[in-house]
Amino acid sequence: MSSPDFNDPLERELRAFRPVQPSAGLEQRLAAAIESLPEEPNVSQPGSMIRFLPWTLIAAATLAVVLFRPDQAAVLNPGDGSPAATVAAVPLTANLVPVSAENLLFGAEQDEGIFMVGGAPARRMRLHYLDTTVWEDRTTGQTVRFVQPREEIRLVSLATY
Amino acid sequence: MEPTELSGDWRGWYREYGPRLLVYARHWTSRQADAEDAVQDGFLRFWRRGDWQRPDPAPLLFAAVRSASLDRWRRDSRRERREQIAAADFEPLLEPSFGVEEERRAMIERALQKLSCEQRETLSLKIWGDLSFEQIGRALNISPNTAASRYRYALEALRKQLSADVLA
Repeated sequence: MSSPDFNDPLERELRAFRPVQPSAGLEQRLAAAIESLPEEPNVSQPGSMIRFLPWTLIAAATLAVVLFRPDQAAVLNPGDGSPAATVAAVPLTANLVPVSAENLLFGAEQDEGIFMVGGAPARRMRLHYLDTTVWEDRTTGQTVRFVQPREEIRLVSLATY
Repeated sequence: MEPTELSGDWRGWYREYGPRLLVYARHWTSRQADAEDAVQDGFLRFWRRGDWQRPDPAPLLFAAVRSASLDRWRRDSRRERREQIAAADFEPLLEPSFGVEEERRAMIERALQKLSCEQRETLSLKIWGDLSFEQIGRALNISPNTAASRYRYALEALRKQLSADVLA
């Protein structure tokens, strides 16, 4: 805060007046309002994941539909017409190697601005991905596909002028 | 007390800045209750956004109260504004200090009301807000030079107005 040097007599006269004090009710109203506020923005705030919960549920539901449709129930594709196996049925000795990977960006949103520890302003971007990895068992030719939703949070620094 | 000493203690902020914010908010309303509502809105915005954690946060606090005051002013109907003007004489903006006559206080308040809005708020931020021209510039989104210029013009306009009132 500044400590201005008021040399002008009018300035000094004005400074001699004190602003009217707020009523006691204002502080009480502020106390009630501030106590009801959610916690201040924090990158590692657990509540941020709760906000993303709907996206996660939608992605998980989509994944479940894709993987477990009756006509395409085979997570493991034997290729020989035998009944489809489930992921749990993959033998531990399977010789799996990754053959492809894909990161599908299916949604993005901006959160409100936040302030970093040092006070620098930043904007939080939430990117919603569906990561798909296909593994192949070299001995049997069977493939297994893992699909999982992923949220990526990026902090984009903001410059203020 | 310096803002850095206040940190996350909202009551400390309020006690330090409450009266200054109130006199500032009164430039958009002549009713103390409305000004307090604007201070409440602005203070909550400031606190909710975590602005107090930023470097030199005082101008942001005044800017938040200014924004809240303008929002309220726009919402007010013309009829309500007329009522406020009528009630203005009953709700003084400033408290007299020892040795200053009540008549002089009322004269200064009347003269303040005759300044342009830009001059009045700059004067208020400097004299009672205790902000530097650089901080005023940040609060009003103008350059420090513009803030200094407005302040000097405001002081001169106020001086002329008071002289005219004394002669009248």
